[in-house]
Amino acid sequence: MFIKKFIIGFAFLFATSVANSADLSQYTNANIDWKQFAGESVSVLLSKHPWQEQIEPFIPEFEELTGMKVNLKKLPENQFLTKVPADMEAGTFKFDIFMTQLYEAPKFCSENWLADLEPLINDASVTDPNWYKYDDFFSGARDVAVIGNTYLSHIAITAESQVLVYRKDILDELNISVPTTMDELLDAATKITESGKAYGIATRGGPAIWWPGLGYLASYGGEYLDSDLNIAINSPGSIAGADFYIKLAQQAPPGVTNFDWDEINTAMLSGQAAMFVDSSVIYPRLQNAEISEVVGKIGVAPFPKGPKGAKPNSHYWTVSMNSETVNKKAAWLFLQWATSPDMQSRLALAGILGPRTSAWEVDGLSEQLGDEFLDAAKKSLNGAVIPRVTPGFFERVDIFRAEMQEAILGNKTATEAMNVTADAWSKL
Amino acid sequence: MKTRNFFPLMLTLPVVIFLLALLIYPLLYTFTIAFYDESSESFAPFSLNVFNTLITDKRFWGNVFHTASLTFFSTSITFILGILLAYCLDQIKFGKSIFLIILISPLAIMPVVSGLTWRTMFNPLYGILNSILKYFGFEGVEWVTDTSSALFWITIVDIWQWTPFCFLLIYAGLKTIPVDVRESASLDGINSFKELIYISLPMLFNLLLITLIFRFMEAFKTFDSIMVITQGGPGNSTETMIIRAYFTGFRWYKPEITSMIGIFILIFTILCTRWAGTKIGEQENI
Repeated sequence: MFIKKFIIGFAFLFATSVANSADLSQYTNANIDWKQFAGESVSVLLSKHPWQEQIEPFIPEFEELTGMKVNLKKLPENQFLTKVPADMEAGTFKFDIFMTQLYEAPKFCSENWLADLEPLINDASVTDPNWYKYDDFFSGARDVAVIGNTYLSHIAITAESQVLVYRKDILDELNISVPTTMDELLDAATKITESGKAYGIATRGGPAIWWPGLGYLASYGGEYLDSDLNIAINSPGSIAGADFYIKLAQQAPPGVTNFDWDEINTAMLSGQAAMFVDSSVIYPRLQNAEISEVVGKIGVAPFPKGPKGAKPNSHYWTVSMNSETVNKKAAWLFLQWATSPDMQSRLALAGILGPRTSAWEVDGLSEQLGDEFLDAAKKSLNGAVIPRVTPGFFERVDIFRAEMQEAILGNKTATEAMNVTADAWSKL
Repeated sequence: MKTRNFFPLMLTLPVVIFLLALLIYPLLYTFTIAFYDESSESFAPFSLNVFNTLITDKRFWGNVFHTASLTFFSTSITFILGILLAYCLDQIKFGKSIFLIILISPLAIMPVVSGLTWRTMFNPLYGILNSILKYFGFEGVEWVTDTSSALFWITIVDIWQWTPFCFLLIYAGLKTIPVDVRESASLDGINSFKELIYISLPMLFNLLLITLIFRFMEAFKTFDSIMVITQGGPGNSTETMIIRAYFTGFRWYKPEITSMIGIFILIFTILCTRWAGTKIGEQENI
């Protein structure tokens, strides 16, 4: 009996795998000779991550498409993040393609550990520009590629950005329309807190305050560092943005100076807070009936506009190529395949929301996540910014964190806090 | 002619090697990192740059102040509470073992676990402390998320955690005092309190001193509870020297600052415990 089931199951698996592997037309349509490096191999190191889980089953397709062999190795995130720089430093890193994060970019690029991908993107023998469509990436994702004012080395694979998530029922009850500007946001938050139905907003006030903070600063014309990497934290725009964020955070539940994304998530799930403006990846959790008390009461809107427009902060995981890779063209075929519009669309349907506009317009996605969310996230990602990263980035934002907390607790004004921050940054 | 006996030397050799490897070398290396000047080309590349950056840094003096205040209040209060509890337990007639277990239980909980518990209790939204206050009609308090009160509550957690340590040592000490000493005291008509002040405590002088030194050093390097509950925040209001050293060394990769803070801590500890060391030394000579 068991054997019979086993054989049927096996036959079924075999049949489906054959059926899956058949359709490669999306890739063979491209004006690229996929088979040019048949017989060669490319080694790939991935961190354990939803993206890795979803793309891994597709790798046999790539092998069929190109005749190349992919040697894949996976590591848990913490080990991954220490192994790559450690092995690079020691000169023993043997992988061609691996995942990267934007915060590591200054170190990785200054050591020349990453390959410059621009020549490969422009090389007609391995890239079909009309098929790969580099311009299809969100502008923030293209900024990540050259982050730290360096060469093109990071291709984005995931995208998340700040969106406004709110309680429809509370806003309706108090007759407040969905905020579209920063002033409306603060007004709405204040009204809700005063009404006593819930706290107006939940926002980060803990160690990661810099992440949403940049979105507010940028929307008021400020930034952490200007394009020449000079300190811009106490520019008039930055001070105005910080001042707004401080006022907003004062409408948050008590204990906001200990809030990170998890606390925001909890405050919203339990109905303590009526709005938040944070990462788009939190939204699907709120619609999960197992953990959420507010399923069906949640609305989502794009990041509100400040005086300089809506410029939410965003975050991307990226992939890069080792500068020591011998056959860069072969490795690029894999990288191109993994970050192509078609692959990112397929991954989007599996829940990995990608950094390309086209990946947000796939058929079937709106049934899964709802047009409201897709529209909000897409609009936010289109205008999104990323922080300019330099070595010592986290030390800088920690000083920012301490000063912002003092200001939120009313011990300092925004101007004082930002001037102290700028002064401390200049001494690093 | 006498042949030299190397045997005693051989016996001490392992200890000497271990001391060199585990204490002296890291200490010297710390000094090297703190005072080494990369840019200098002189024969002795010695520089006070790190020292100067640190002593002109307002934030560092804040760290020193937080450390000093936490150490002083935590040490003195745990010590006094420890004596009182030990004395009370020594006096009562029944239920000793139950009280003993209850009183030492904070010591048995891992600091990280108790830190997390306290953090949850302090939560202004869902924490039990604010729920109790609200039940009795009071306003909720911000506990550890306000710059003005955070260090106070951290000190309270530290006192809760370490009072059992003082209590246990002193209680054990009280048990070693011969019964006849106390009996004769009571026959002479001295009340219990006077007996404690004039007889028991002076007899335990060395033990009390050692308890104090241990407690002092422990309070000076309080790490787990602060790290779990506030991470030095809000602002820098609970950032002690050891927390600052951790952040600069392991998060911002600035070992030279961490080493310099380490040297400061070493000097402070030596200065503060020297007095006690001399006292114990004097006792031995009697």
